[in-house]
Amino acid sequence: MVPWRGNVRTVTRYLMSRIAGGVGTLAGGSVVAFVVFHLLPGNPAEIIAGTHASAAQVAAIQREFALNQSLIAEFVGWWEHVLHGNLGVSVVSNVLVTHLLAQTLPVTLTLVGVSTVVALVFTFVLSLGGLRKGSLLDRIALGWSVVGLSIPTFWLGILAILLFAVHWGWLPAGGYVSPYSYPVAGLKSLALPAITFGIYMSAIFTQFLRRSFLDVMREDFVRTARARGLREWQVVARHASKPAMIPFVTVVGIAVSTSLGFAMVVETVFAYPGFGSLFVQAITARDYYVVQAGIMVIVAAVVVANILVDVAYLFLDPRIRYGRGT
Amino acid sequence: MTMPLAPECRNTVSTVKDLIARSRERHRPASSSQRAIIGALVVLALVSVTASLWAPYAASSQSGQSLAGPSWAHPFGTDELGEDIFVRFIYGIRLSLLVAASTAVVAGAIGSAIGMAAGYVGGVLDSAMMRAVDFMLAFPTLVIAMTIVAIVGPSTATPVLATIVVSVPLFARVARASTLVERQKEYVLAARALGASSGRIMARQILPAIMPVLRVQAAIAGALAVQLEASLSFLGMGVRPPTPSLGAMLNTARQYLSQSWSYGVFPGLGLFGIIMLLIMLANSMADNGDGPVARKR
Repeated sequence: MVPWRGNVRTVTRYLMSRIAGGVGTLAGGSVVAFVVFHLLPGNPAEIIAGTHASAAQVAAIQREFALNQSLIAEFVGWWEHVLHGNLGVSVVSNVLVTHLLAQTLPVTLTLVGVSTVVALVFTFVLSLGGLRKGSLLDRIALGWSVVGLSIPTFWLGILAILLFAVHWGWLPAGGYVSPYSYPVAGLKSLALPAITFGIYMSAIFTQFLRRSFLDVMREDFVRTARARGLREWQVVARHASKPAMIPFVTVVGIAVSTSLGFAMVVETVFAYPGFGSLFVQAITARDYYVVQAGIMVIVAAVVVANILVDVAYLFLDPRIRYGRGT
Repeated sequence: MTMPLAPECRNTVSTVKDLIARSRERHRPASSSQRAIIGALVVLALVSVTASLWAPYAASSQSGQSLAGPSWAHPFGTDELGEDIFVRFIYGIRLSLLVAASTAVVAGAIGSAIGMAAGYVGGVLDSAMMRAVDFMLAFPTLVIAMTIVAIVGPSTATPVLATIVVSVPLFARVARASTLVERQKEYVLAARALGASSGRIMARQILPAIMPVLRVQAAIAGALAVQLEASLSFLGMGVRPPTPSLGAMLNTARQYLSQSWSYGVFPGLGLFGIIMLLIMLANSMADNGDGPVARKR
């Protein structure tokens, strides 16, 4: 997409340091997940064994999951299991946690992906107003960012259900149909949750993109470009859009990485069988291994999104490629 | 200071005192829009706190048919148990305002103290604290809050505890950034030259100087806290059922959307109103030249 030039060594060092930071965060997250596992009230072995288990059965489970050893030995043992792809078994449904994740994550990632696209479309249309401060579109964008941030996501979802499902009956009120197997029904089931989610994200995006466009349009190089007689759209497309994207990409990255958390609310409103619903049920039922794995998945999502944002900087900011500035 | 000073010294001391005094004069009067928003919030607080005195029904009394639409007797209709939605709405507003206020005050005090200490003292303390803050900010706030609820167990105080815990790093980061700026300024050097201790400088010089920024952050934190408590209650992890909470009301309403529209609409309208007032308050304080947002321009 960009004629790619830069200092290979600088770029490699930059990427390595970002990846190392990500691994550090992941390690920290695994400690948190482990600590939470132990802070959850109740005795894990007793809950896993069930209410009618004998003391011998509880002891057997303690041995099996290494719950009777020192904390450090237990932590190491847990990592061994994780690296072998064993995240434990759900206490509630008695299904492998890896199986539950394989079932729910694609559903949620589809929702997050479609919602992000919806949000970006809204945002780019509205942010064009940011090119000229005080224009009608700019004022709409400003109002949008305040109203959009103030509407609780689940209330927006309820209003959408009342209007489109209950009142007009155009779209289903909830549930999930795979858009990969049944495109029409699948997209219909995605429409309300994706728009609800997308509106919330676009409120955050709009606020940032508008401000960063307003800032960039005041820069000297924009004035120079105008003085050279370029048309306004050329100034925006060639000179202003890339620098304006830098803070924006950061915000999109944060929003997408934390969206697994927000998916909990949206999925609960629309009875969507994704990762969010799974995590909410797991916390409510104290489903130890699912909670633990869920926290790890959320941390991993944050780490991956951050590394992707750092890669995007490489394309947007030549100073990073050449090792100057920042 | 009882020792007599040479005239030129006295002059220096008075200049220093003048500088310190001027550092406190930055307090701007509130603009008319700010006063209007604060007025609206105060009215909401007074109305909801005195609800037990004037409300026609108790919060959990079955005063009508279940799931009735709006009428003169029940302006917002009734819920699935026949309780008046308007009365529960007022009590829900009271809870949301309480969550916002206690989060802004408690998290504001703790977070600002951490941030100021990190920014002023610097060094290992600073990097250790900021690592912790960054790590916490990497997690979705709702996940942290839910985990706290799962560990502590649900009660009326738990959501407040959770919102306070997730708001502390936000305050710490803002307080630290502003402290780093103020620390360089002449009046702080002047106070240090006069022999003031670090604690005194932070409390008497830096805190008043960064107060406007902290006020903006407090309004934002209040808005986030209302949203977070509502989300927790909506997910069934907030305040326990008999206590009216707007988020919990919406969770129940979700199951009866085909029977009652008013149940799903009004509690959310209350949340929307409070959150928007707080965000507008933060925006108008920032536009007034107080916040980090305005400083960037």
